Amino acid sequence: MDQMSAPNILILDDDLFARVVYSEILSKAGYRVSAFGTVAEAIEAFRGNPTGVVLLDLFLGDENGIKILPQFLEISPDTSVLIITAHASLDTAVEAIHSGAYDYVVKPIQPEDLVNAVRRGREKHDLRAENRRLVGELIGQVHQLELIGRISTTITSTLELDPLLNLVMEHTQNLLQAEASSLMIMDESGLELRIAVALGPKAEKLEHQTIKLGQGIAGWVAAERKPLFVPDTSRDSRFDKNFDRDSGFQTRSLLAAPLLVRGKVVGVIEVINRKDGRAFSDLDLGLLLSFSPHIAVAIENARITDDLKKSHEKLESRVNERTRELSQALGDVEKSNVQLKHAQAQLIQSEKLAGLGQLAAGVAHEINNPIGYIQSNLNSLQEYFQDLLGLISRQTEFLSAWKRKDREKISELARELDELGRKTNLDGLVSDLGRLVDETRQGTERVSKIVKNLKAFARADSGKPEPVNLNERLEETLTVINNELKYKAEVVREFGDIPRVMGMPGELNQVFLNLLVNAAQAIPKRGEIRIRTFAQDGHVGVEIKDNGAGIPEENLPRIFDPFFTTKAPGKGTGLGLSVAYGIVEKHKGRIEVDSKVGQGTRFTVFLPTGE
Amino acid sequence: MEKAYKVLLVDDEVNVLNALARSLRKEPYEVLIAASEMEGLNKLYVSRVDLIISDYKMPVHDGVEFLKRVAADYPDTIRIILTGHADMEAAIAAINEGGVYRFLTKPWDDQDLRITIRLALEHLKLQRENRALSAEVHKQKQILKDLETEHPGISQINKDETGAILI
Ligand SMILES: Nc1ncnc2c1ncn2[C@@H]1O[C@H](COP(=O)(O)OP(=O)(O)OP(=O)(O)O)[C@@H](O)[C@H]1O
Ligand SMILES: [Mg+2]
Repeated sequence: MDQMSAPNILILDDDLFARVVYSEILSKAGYRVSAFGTVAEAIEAFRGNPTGVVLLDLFLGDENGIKILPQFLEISPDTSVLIITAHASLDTAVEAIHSGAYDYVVKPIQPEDLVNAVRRGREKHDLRAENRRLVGELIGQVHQLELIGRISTTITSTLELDPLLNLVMEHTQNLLQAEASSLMIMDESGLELRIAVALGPKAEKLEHQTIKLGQGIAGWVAAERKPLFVPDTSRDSRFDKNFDRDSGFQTRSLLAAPLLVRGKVVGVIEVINRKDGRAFSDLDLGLLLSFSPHIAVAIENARITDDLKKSHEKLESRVNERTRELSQALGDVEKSNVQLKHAQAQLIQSEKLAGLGQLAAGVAHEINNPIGYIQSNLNSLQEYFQDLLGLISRQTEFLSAWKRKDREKISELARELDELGRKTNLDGLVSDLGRLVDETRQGTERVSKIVKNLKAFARADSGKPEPVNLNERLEETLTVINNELKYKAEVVREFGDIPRVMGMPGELNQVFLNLLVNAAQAIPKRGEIRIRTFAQDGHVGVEIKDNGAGIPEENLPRIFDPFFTTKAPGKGTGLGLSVAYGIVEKHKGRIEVDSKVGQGTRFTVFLPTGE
Repeated sequence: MEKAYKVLLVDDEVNVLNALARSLRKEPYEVLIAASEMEGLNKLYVSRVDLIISDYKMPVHDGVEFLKRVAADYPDTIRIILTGHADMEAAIAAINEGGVYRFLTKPWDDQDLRITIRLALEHLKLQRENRALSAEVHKQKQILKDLETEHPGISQINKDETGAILI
């Protein structure tokens, strides 16, 4: 199949619409998708082309997707199976993961989620496949190293053919006092002799000539496997005169012997012309035959050596080849790492988009921290109770066994209880229970505080404006928060004679409350809060002044922003001032701030009297 | 029994940390917590952390800086963001510069979180295997190379008195 166009994602979903949508999303993301509506079709296709990623709907008609999952993994264990589940509950997804799925996506599917999950799946598949390949590679290497090791030791203890044979022939020639000699080696086919060594005058002309089986003296000897003693070559028809003609040498008398190893002819040795001019005798032939078996063994050994050498060379070249492959594989690993990075970059790109929508949800996000741990704590609480209930039921059993005086049961349950207690970490659990409840309560308080503030923020035109006496409002607010103020500050009132303003009394209460609480919170140990009211230019001014920590200049532009806070995490919502600002703005008034770090802060609210 | 992996939770809100630690207490990895970036860096330095789950916006240091630092100093550590903050810019910066594996939002689903961590650790395991294998292949390659240079071929002759070659 063509690698370039073969699909790399398989979708199995009985819902045609879903198939089309998923295919569309993934194709846009650059994947090649093949989609199927039935299990049989999908498995069939997967067998022919096991894709790296399989997208599997958990509830295909009657067939449960989880049951089908192993079929894919059996065909290709490296494949990442991605589960699509319509269930809000994650239980099925968990079950799927236990059955070998790598991840899940919950319907309704967000395109980014799907693409990211598929991308992670591919990454994982590639890593798995790569690792498997590398392991195979390593095993191959180890085998090769073993082989090389074995052959090298063999080769170094053997030797090269030609120098040795030369030595042997010189030895032979001297022993028989011959003018010339030659050694012929049978080739692999067993049909042709090659002259391996030729000594004596004009010998170089004979080097590397070949002689057919049955041709000339040597050919006869090899064919007949018998030694031959030719006192006078001119009288022997077997002698091939072409040799002398080619070499310019004159052969008078010769001895020839086959070289046999385990009954096989490996070569022929010839000794030519005694130096003293006499013909060879029977005695000379006997001498030759006495050591020709050694020569035969030497040749055979040399041949083996040669073979080994050749196979070693072949092996070496294979090693080289493999080394090249390996370095390429390494390059591939590096490349896949680069691709991984690339994939990650793209993942980030789309997570960014996913995040955008979520973050746009707005202000309510601030409560996600407390909601998060409240929910999680409630889950844990349930688990704690389950653990404790398990323990309690065992204890009840234990008690009844105790009453029955069932010794065996008692010791068995005691052991179990001990184990169970350790496993559930009973002590830790019990001591954590109080903290868990406490923290959860803090969370709910925080949420309700935020919600209250947000309500004040959002409560737009509830009710009609009415004439409000701000001095009275301030008194009222002070009684409400007296508890928070009294330990922190001396409250000094400088209430002037002021006209009423038109407004919503409850909302204005909220403004003063927020400012007063901030003032108290700005005081580290103990200080003073001055409240002054005055009339000025058709406005009523309310000044709330503390001698607390003050606001650093760089924070001043941000204090009215929603969620801006410098208070400890989980303490301030950062909504107090923005709420106050919103309310004052609605009343067509304004807020002024004046602050010095280390000296204190003065907030002044101006509200129009409406005249 | 020593657990094979260490997961570090970093969040400036202790209540969040405690809740997370509770929901992960039966998981097959060790859970460490840090209530600030400083504490987080400390924990990273002291113990070999495999996965870090962090909020990105924390008051003392910029959370993005923190994640960048983690990415630079401990590139082998998987980074996951778990956040409820509405600060868009910081989120994008954290994702782009901190090289995170996944972006999760608060409130979180305990089970989803547990699965995500497990999958991430599995991913990490694969990556580490891959790296170890590559290193091994490197090593073997070197051995083969050495062998070739060390082994010049056949140069020695061994024979007995008769001239027979010894094999
Ligand atoms: N009187 C003050 N002195 C010093 N700093 C102040 C004062 N009033 C406000 N601030 C600064 O402005 C920030 C925002 O105040 P705001 O009332 O909006 O939120 P908060 O007080 O932090 O949270 P919350 O109102 O929910 O308790 C504070 O965190 C603090 O840094
Ligand atoms: Mg406040």
